[in-house]
Amino acid sequence: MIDLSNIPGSQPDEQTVFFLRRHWFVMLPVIIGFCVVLVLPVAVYSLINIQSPEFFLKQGAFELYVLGASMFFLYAWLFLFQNYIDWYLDIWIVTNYRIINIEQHGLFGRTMSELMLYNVQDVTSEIIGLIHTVFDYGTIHIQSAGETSRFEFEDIEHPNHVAKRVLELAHIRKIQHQRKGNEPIGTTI
Amino acid sequence: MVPLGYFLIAWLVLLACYAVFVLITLIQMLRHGLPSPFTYLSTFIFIAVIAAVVLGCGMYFLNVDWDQTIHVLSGVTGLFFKDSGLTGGEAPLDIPL
Repeated sequence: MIDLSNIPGSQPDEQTVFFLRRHWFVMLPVIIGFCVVLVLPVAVYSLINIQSPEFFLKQGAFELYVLGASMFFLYAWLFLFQNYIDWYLDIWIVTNYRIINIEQHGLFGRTMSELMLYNVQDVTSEIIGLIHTVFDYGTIHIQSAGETSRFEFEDIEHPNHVAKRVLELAHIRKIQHQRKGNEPIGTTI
Repeated sequence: MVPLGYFLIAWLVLLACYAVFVLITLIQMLRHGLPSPFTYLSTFIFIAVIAAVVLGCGMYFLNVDWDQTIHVLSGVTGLFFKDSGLTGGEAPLDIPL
């Protein structure tokens, strides 16, 4: 779990309700792709051996192959790890006060935004497709008051349960917000 | 005829570029990743695999004679085209009309 005191604007009684990442299944195509790429140097070696068995007996041929294959593997490994970072650093945190959205876009792009729960107007969960249904993961859209843009939790586990809980938390927070003497959200013109 | 050492230089240049990418990646991971054992473990595995490959290659390259030269084109064309049996100075066969 994350230490909320490290995040700006945290409340003393703030507690993490959900700590969400994309479903692990999202990483599976990347891992399979990496395995296929990993097999390529071995496949090339085997093919050359079948096509022309004397090729690697030539002066410097095997050394050249090792140079190429090692560099190919290293860059493929880096590519896999960067994809993993992209997945690992996409985080959505739901606390009893707010929703924090942290998204990594490639190696150099990073977005952090937050939404107070009393501003939440509408929460929609979406599970589309066979794989999503089987593994129970999907997207949640959160519409906030007065904002045209929506928060999106992409490919998270158990989206229906999370959406329901976010709505409950938003309802509780709205009541507490109004009790403090604030106007109800969405009533101002 | 190309000295094999040239390919080693190219490999080292690519490795230097690779080191820069790895450094940026590690900075991103350790700066933005949560301080959890999983973050450190995955980073360690990433570095360990790279170290194993680079060290393994390094050990192998220590025993290679980099002064030897190779025929790049003849080696590659030899892969795709079967040897016709003709050599450079040989006269073509007489085909009766």
